[in-house]
Amino acid sequence: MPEYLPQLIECIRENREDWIAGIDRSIDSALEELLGESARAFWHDLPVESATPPDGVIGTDGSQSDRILWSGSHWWVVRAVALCGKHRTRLIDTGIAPSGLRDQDFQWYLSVKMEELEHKTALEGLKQVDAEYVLLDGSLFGRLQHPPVESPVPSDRFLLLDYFDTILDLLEYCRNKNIGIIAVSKDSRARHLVRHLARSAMNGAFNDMPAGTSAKIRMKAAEVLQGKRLPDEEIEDLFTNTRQETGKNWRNIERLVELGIQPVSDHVLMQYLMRGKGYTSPLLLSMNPDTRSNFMAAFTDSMTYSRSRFRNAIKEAEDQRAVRKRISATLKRLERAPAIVSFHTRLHPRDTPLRIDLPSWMVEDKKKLWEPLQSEEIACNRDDVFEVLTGGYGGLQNYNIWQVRADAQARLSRETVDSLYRDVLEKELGMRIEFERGYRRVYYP
Amino acid sequence: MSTTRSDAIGLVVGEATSTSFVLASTQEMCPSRLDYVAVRSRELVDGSLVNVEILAQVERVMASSDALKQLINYDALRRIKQADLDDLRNYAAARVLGYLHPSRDEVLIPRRSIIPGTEVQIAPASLLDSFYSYSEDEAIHIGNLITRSEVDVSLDVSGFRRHTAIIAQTGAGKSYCAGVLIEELLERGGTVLVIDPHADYALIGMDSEGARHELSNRCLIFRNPASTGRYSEREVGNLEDYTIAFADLDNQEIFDIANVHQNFTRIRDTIENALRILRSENDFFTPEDLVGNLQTQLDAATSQRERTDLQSALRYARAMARMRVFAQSSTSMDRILAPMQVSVLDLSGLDSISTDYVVSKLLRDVSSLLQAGDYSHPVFLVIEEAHNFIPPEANTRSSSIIKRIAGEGRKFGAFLVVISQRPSKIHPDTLSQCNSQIIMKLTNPNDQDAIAKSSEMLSRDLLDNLPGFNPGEAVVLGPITKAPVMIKIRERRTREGGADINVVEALRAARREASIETTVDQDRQRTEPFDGTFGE
Repeated sequence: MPEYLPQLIECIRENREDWIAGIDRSIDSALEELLGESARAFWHDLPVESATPPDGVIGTDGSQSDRILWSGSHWWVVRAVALCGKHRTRLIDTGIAPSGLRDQDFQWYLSVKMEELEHKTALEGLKQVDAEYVLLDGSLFGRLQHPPVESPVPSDRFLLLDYFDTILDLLEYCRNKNIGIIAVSKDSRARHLVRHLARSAMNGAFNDMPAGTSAKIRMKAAEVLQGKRLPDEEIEDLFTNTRQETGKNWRNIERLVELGIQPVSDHVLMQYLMRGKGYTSPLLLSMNPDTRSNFMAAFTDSMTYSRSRFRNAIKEAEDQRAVRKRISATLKRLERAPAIVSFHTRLHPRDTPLRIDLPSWMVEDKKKLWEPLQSEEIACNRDDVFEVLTGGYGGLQNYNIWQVRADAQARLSRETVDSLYRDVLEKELGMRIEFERGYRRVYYP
Repeated sequence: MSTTRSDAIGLVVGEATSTSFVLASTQEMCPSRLDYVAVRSRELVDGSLVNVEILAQVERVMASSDALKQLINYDALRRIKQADLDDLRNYAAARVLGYLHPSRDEVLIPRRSIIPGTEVQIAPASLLDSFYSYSEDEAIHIGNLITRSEVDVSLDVSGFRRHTAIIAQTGAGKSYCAGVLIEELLERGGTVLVIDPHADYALIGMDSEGARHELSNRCLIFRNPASTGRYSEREVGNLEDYTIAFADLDNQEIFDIANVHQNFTRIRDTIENALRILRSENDFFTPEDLVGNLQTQLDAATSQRERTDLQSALRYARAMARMRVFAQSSTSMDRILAPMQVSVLDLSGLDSISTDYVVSKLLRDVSSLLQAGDYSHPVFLVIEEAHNFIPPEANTRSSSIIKRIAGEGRKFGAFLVVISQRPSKIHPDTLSQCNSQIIMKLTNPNDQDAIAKSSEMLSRDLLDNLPGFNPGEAVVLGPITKAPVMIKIRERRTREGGADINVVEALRAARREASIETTVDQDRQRTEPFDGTFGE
């Protein structure tokens, strides 16, 4: 409203410099100094640019929506679509989560439900059409990084096991049929590349150190750069020791550790240091140390792991042995999950980067998800992936024509949920569905 | 789209009313504009809620794509199209025409909303037949549906007890359409009088091949002495003169015809005096006799005042002589009006004043006969180029009688069929009295507005269709049809007289007449064809 404009302008003018610095984050010079050279060595021209979208590409996406009912319980709906040309595969799921669930638990539950449905829909779509590639929305690595634990929703304790089963079914189906899985993430906040470059720079810095430099400093710094969270005191000790033992290079190492603690995202780094069209060297990703230790615990002693991570599920089960068997079966499958190769690409000089994840078998690598201890560069000779990406690139708004269409078709609008689906629910249940007052207060028809 | 009824072409979607709805369909099944569709609904009829089949006509068809948006750049659009991701959606907007009363042959307009989700089908021919046919006695077969040529369309002859207008721009086929109506009215025993300024209907007694048809002897052409109609007596058969006996007119009529102002008393006296002399000498005289008498008096006049009056009176008399409609005897109304007869009054060759006078005289005579009960059959008065007789502002001789017939004629059996290409140039009261309208191609916005104002049945959507009509296509509204209908006029059985000239044939004939054809051919033959190279 214009009544506020004079005050707004005043606010901006008062702190103009802070504004500019805040927007720029004043990190470009630091990034350039620490990582500029190595980042540019990581940046390559696109191997191929296709003007024609290839045939046989399936785009998939999902959407979620929930309403808190007057009773405090959550009514949720998820739906997904897989599309290839004129063919559509659509699946929907809906349910009630009990009241008393923590909001963050419910949101986690709902996003897992949606991703699970996306996997099912993609698999169903692949069985219905003759496809060569399937596109997933978001990060494939992120989908596999959930620690296998029971769900907070009592009626759906094994959600994550079902979830892993569906994505592993999809991966296995694609591998057996030689179908490429390409996960496209347009707004990734991943830091794998930044950590990888920082770790390389750190190694270089330590190489310049006197031989007697403490191994403990090296190890702690490496853990931080791998994403391990250390207590503030340990960080302080690390900095003190660094200053004492690394001589003139202590400042660079400190800055790299700081970057490890609060790293910028890969995409921010690219915006500063990598110009024009191109792609980054693919990395075979390593799991976050905490998640990896969870996985390893599950793989090495599944019984103990099950007891601690599926405590309620086992307690509530009539046949506890069958439950343990069920958990163990999925964990065994998960152990064989492929490692993930990831790179970023910018398909237009003015566009933001896309993160691309591929299963390792697509680049002739047989490593498992849990195997890489730290990210490593890997050769990737898949020009066909770039043919899909560039052939389906339609500019800033249509970064991937299949994914944009899938997103548009899967998206749950307020009208759909509040009118159409709600009417169906009321009709089927024979009762009125009232939303909680807080929701109704912000309802603008 | 999966459907439960094999003939369903779409579903009603969005907001539907009792008068219109939108149907979602597929590219393959989506109906075309002007197609007739049917939906089932429930209506309160005679106190009971019953299932009815509602007929509707597609007014607009739309295709949209969420993927192919205007703001997306060409390259992206091309890729989306190539990947077959265009996500086309097809819709059609339909206007409800009505439903048939379950037991009476009557079309009713729904009062309940069509329900979204209802299946829509292409209207079955049987439903359309029910809407647009009448019993043999009542039916005037006018043509067939534009979009469904297998469905014949009839008009209700009873609907002609209200006046009718045929509106179309030049060349759209209004005279052709009127010819069809005249044929049908004649076959049903109608008395039809055609006011024909350009002799367009002079060949009504011949069939399309130029031969006489079985009702030829019921078609009479009344030709005025000045007619320039392009036909011969041998062609049209029943050809008679239409004349008005000057001697039968009283003085006041003559002053009116000559337009002698009532204040010009000396001129009136002079003419009156001449008429008295003529009447005393002969029972039959003409305007030329009046001119002769006045001239004789002028030659003998002694005073300047006398000469001035005679000279002025002569000017009026000569004007009447120029009208060329007067003769020694009048054509009898018994010849013009007869059951099961078409009388065409050929007014070609007459100037506008004469035409106006003749038309007003004839219509007054018809009106008097009917009002007095001296002619007991309904008379259909077909007035071509009606804008010349009933202009919106000027008062012509004929306009007052036409307006009177438009206002009261139906009470004594005079029914107008007004034909014009310029509805905006017709007096709006007369046009609005034409409850039935047959409207053909019309592009002029003023004319569209004029008919929109004259008819509450003509919606904006129907108007929008008019410029797109082909010759011979029309929309019919009013009491002559159960529901508005778009038709292709059937072929005429009688010969058309007002068709456009075949310019190519006419020019060929002209060359033949000028003996040029042979010369041109000889010249062509003499010219050697170009062999592709330029010689030395």
